Amino acid sequence: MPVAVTATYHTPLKSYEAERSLEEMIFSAATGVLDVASVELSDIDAIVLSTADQTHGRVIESMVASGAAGGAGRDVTTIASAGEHGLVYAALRLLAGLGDRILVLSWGKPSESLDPDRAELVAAEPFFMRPHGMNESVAAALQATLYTKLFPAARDAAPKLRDTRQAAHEAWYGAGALGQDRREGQVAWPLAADDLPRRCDAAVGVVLERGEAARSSDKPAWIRGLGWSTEPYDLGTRDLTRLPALDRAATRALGDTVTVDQLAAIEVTEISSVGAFVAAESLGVITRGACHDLIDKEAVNRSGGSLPAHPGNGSGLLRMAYAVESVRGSDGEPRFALGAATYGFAGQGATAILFSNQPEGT
Amino acid sequence: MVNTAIVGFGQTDFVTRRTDVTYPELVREGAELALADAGIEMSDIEAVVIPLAPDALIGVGSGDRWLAETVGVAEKPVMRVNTGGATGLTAVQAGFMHVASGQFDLVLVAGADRVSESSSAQAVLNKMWDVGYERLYPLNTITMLALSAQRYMNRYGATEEDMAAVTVKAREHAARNPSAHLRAPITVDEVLGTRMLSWPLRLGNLCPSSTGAAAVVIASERAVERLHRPPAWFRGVGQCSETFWMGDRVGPKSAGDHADAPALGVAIQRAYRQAGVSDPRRNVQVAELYAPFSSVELHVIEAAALCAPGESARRISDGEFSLGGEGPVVNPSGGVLCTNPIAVTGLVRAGEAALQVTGRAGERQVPAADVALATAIGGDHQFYAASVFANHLGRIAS
Repeated sequence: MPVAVTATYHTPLKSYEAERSLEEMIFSAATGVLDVASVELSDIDAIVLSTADQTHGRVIESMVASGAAGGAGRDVTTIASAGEHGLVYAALRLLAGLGDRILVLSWGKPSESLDPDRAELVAAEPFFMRPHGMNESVAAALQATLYTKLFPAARDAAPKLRDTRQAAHEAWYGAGALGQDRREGQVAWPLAADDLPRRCDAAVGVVLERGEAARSSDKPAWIRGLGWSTEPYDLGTRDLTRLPALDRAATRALGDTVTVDQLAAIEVTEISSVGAFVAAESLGVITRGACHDLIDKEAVNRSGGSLPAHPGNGSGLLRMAYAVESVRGSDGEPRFALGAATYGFAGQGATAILFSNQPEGT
Repeated sequence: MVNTAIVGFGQTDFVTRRTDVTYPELVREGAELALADAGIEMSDIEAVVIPLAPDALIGVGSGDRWLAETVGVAEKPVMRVNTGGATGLTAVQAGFMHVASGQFDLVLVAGADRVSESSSAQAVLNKMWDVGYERLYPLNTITMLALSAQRYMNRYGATEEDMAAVTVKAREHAARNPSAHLRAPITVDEVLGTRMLSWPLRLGNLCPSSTGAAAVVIASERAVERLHRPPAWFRGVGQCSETFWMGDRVGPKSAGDHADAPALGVAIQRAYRQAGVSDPRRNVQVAELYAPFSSVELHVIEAAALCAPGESARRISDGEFSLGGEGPVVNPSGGVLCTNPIAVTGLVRAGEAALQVTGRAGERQVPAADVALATAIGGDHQFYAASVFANHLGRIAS
């Protein structure tokens, strides 16, 4: 594919972004990534936004976001299924030949919400799931319950993985970067607060270019494969100990280009300390039930991943951005990284994108 | 770019309320109609795009996830688009990108809306404005477009009778469309006798709150050859946005004027350029233009360059833009003024345009329709989309 990510940027991850409004965060991400790409807004052919209306209390969030993203007078599209889908859509558009350079923005500011759990509850259909209080945490707990029953070793491995991710996060950002102490208390059995992704505020920007624009840019990360897929919505019809949507997405993204073992980096959404094992199995990083093997896999979530810092709808694009940065600028031999993100209850949907420092045919 | 076409379109009959189906079941109805029209099964579909605008109208956040197994899209790549009222056409354009990119051969774009499901659509839509400034006025889509209508009247001398004439034309067209929501003929006097909501807009100038579903099947040229269905080829797509702020639509520092739809004009010109449309009045035979209020149709006709600014009212009173009239026909389906299931309203514009250029529009067929324009508007007259369709891949310009 003659399409590459040529710049990434995100605002500082904070448990509560008190200095800037959501619109100001989006503006910061837009201007920040354009600076990194060394391009002006006038050089951008289209803007793709990804929004999450319920969390931030705007009925059509892209309306308030568009101006902050530089959208007035420009071509703006909003992809609302997942933050990472904005990047997928931008790639499709460039492959279709409509434009040379696209700005993609996604964000999360759950601190604006009085009760993010309640906002997630609204995503449960009103007849069966909502009366039972379904939200992301409860769905993750159902998955963890089933998985730990099948593989009791996960109970011992999960705290170790959680600590490994936290250490990686602190190495990447510095201790206490979020401005928040570690959390305590049971949320939904068997998951305690620290077993679940820690919500934080951040806006993420990516510039995607094609053809000559990409080739002439500094250190492009070429998209070598794209995949995304879904599972049924009803949790009762799914085997929650597996993530076939993630499997399908990754299989399509990797194609015949590279195997999982050859990846220099994998950035993947982990919806809980136990769900991390499910995701790793689906990607083929570990074999079924071999939970402890994940703890020492250095290529996986070098940033710490989504457990220590999870900016809501922006989390998926953040995974992609980190995967990009792990191959950008590396000279010599081809280097590959996989960005993989899941969304919805217990990972209903998944996206995987394969990035490389080398374009196709090299 | 891979040549890409609409090869199937389905729409349910649009009504005020459906209590016999859930949202996913309603989407399924539209999807099945489109698949049948294309002569294929869901198993043939490689990817899916869901148009869904304000979640709050159906009362479920991320409702696109809810329909996975009911519609049969689980295990497929699925993506949701939300650009407010423009969502339906933006989703069709997203489906086009899927295929034109070379990544897929057959893509389904399927959605539905249940606008009457919310206790007050206007109360929901008020929440789309900024919480600190304009939400407080209070704005809703009626008061927002009443301001635009006032500007249009002031700038071009249009009257309430001119706007009522748009409704009369729309109803005459909708009477020929079995899927339309409001199909009863109406007179200018009857429109002027309806309840005033926000001057100069009366109930008779407004679209209904519609419930129903619609879907299109989009195919690559390779798949078109295989399916043997009449294709409506995508010849041009364009988008453009305006400022979010209502207060920035008028005055010396404004980028445009709220009387007009300048960004829609930009979006349409982008689509025209790609398609090779150089003289819209001669090159385009049908325009399915998103106009939820009769006042809006006046300025969107002008944004489409089907006449000069300020001329549309006079031309409509002369019988232009009507079935049987001279020149391009605007909204032969009855348009948004007669049917507005928000999430799929723009999709229906594309589907109706496809029916017209493939000669399958029944009683509302425009004779010799080779090229059609479809547009949509979202947000507070903020997001605009335009697509040009033709029944051939040859040269369009006259």
